[in-house]
Amino acid sequence: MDAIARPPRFLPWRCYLLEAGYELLRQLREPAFVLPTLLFPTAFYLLFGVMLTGNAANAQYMLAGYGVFGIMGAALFGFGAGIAADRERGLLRLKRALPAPPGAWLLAKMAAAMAFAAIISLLLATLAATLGGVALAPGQWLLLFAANVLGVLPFCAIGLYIGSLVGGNAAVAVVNILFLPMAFLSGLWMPLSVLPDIFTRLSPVWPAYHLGQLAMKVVGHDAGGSTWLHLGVLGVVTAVFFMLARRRLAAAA
Amino acid sequence: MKRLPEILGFTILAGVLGLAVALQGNANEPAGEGDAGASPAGNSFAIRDARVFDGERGIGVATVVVRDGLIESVGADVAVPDGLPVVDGAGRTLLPGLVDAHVHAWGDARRDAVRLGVTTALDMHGMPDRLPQLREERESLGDTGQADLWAAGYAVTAPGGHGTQYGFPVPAIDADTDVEAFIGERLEEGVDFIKLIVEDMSAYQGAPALPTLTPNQVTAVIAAAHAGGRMAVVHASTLADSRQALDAGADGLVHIFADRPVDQGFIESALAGDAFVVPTLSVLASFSGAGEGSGLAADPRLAPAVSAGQRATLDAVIPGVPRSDRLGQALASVRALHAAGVDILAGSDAPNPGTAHGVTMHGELELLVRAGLEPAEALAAATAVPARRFGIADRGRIAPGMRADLLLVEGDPLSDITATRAIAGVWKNGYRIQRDPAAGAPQAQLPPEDTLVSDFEADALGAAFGSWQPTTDQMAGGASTVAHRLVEGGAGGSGGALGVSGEIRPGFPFPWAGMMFFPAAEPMQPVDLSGRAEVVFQVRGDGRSYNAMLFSGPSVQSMPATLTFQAGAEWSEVRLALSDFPGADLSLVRGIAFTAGQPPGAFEFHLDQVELR
Repeated sequence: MDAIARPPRFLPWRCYLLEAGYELLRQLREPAFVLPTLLFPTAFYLLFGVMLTGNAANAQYMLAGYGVFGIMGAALFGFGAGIAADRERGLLRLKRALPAPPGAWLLAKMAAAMAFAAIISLLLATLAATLGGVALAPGQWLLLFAANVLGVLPFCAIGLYIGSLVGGNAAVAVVNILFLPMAFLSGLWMPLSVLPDIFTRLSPVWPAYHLGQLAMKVVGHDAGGSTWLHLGVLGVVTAVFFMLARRRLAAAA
Repeated sequence: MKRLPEILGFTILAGVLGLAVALQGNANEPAGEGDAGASPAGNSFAIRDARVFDGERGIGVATVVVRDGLIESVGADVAVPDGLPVVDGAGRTLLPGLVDAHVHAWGDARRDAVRLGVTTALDMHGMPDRLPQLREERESLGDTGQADLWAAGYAVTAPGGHGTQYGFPVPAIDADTDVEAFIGERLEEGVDFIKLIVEDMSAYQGAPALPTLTPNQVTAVIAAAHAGGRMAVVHASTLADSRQALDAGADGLVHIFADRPVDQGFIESALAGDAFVVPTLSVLASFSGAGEGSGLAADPRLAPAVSAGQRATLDAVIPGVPRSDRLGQALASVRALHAAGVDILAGSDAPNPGTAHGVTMHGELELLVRAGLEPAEALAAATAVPARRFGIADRGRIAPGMRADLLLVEGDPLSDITATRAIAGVWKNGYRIQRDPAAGAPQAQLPPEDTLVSDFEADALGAAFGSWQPTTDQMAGGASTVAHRLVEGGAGGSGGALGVSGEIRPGFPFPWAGMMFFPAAEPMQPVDLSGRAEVVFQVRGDGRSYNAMLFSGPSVQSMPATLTFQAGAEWSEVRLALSDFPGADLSLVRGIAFTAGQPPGAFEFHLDQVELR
């Protein structure tokens, strides 16, 4: 007898893809989120990296720094505030109840964050190449792009942890107080040598410093630290915060 | 217990971040801009495991130890002494600092050149006042931060000939000049070699003809130079003129002609006289419209060290020159000369349009390889060969006892000559050169004790220190003109004064024309005048209102601070307090100009007794 209907083939990857697609769509349908996220680093770079800068060497340094700044913002606000809001509204609990693979919503959000990072990176690169007078080898452009897109991950992890810790309102405030000082003290906007000594010495505490140094290595303006050190710190930060956040979110009802 | 993973997680994080601070925290100090690892601030260090090109050939991977600005030892088995900072040379090549065999250096030229790895240059036409100071600088092992210069002083040319159009008066040789006495004067000024200009513009279609030296004069000048113990090198643009110069005994040619291909007779003359050739292919490329300059400016390996000024001259185009195959002909000539064994030297002729100090040498090396030289031969043409031909004993090679003028590049220029552009480090006298064009503020010297700058009593225009030059808005696109002469009847009954006359014409929004005083040995170099209170001078003129413009500050291009004064019919004293010049930086004064401004029209005034009290 062939009356037993075959269950439709279960394609796990299609779930992830669908989830990611819908997550991206959902974010894009909120212009009040999309536009500032994309335009803030672009406008900042246009002002400080293109118009107020002297020579091409500065413009390269600025491009590396503002690229990291831009994707960091997208990750922290998108993840941190976003996850906190979703958690508050009970969406995470709903998603857990759905017949989707357990990690799909998280991977979907990460994919959306990487997509935003890619767009920001491209926007800045276009501005730099056309208006900023920055000339890089094709390999360098690609490496910078990769550093930006992959570099969202540590900040997604931090954002996730913040989102798991506090409610929606508070999350925005917490991210703000973390985001701007970290960007400033990591040497993303101006060389660390202009900061007081104590901040210069403590700068490797910030994950943004390490990602910034990797981006500057591509354009040759870093402080000479070891690539493995930077990658190592970013890796540990990503792992620790993901683990802790996962624990929290799994435990939270 | 519930919090244990959290505490554990944060402890791990704290540990890792603490480690990062411990390892990296000091690296962000302002002094540490290490693109080649450790950045030694002194002049003793070692470079380990780099491929070494010693000026003549590659000697393989070796360690080089520098002590007190001189190379102490070179070798594969040299041990690095304890306590010396070490620069990692793995995957890199160490070259002697490059020698640019044809430049015209003023302003930031020497600083721009050294950032790009050119540590020595040969200046082919300029004012002789700076010659004593140039000699002192190249004998010093101090942290000069700029390329050393050997110079020809005034190039020898005909009245009104090529070389006289650059805004400063050039003594010339005409039919009646006593050549031996003329060359004697040049030797007294302290020139390092004699350069002749044989140029009637016949090689350049459409250019107006210029008067130039006759063959007899060329022969006489070269003989006098040799009698005085100096080399004689010749600028010539045609095969005929170049051949004549060689037959008259010239030691070298500082351009390759491109009007016709080289012939066997020329090669034999060159070999017979053991003459060298500086082909300056880069400027020929610029003349043939090849766009090499812009290509160099856009090379990402060079970009971080290139200043806006260098970029401007690289992108500049010689106006109205038709595209031609000058470069092709020149390459063919160099190929033939090199194959026959004539010494070829690398020179840029910077800063002509399409070239820039320092940057163009990298382009010139590539052009020499295109002309048939092996990369090692091209590198030798930019290091040991010019040092040998010009008798420079302490540089151009990497060997014990040589000066530590060094260029470290990523990769291997002996296989790919363009690897010279990937600069990992430059050292001058053993001191590291900063790559950033904005770094390295100019050293402002103190002026000599004299308060009197000029009283214009002598037969020629001069000053107790510094120099005078005419200045007009033509350099900014205007149309005003000025002429100066020494006139009789100075202030207070003295013998002479400086007469300045000309016309202000509309063209530039802020027109000016007049004379400028440069207090330093080189025009626009800074001098510290903060110990002086006022500039005092005597003036008379046509009743117009005139301007005293003070140029100062860290940038050569900043706007001057201006004060006005009147020039009445009788001599009157004008005292301008230096502190009254709005916004002036008295510790970095580059020039004081006395000029006419608006309204348009003719002007004339006389200056005398200029003092800085």
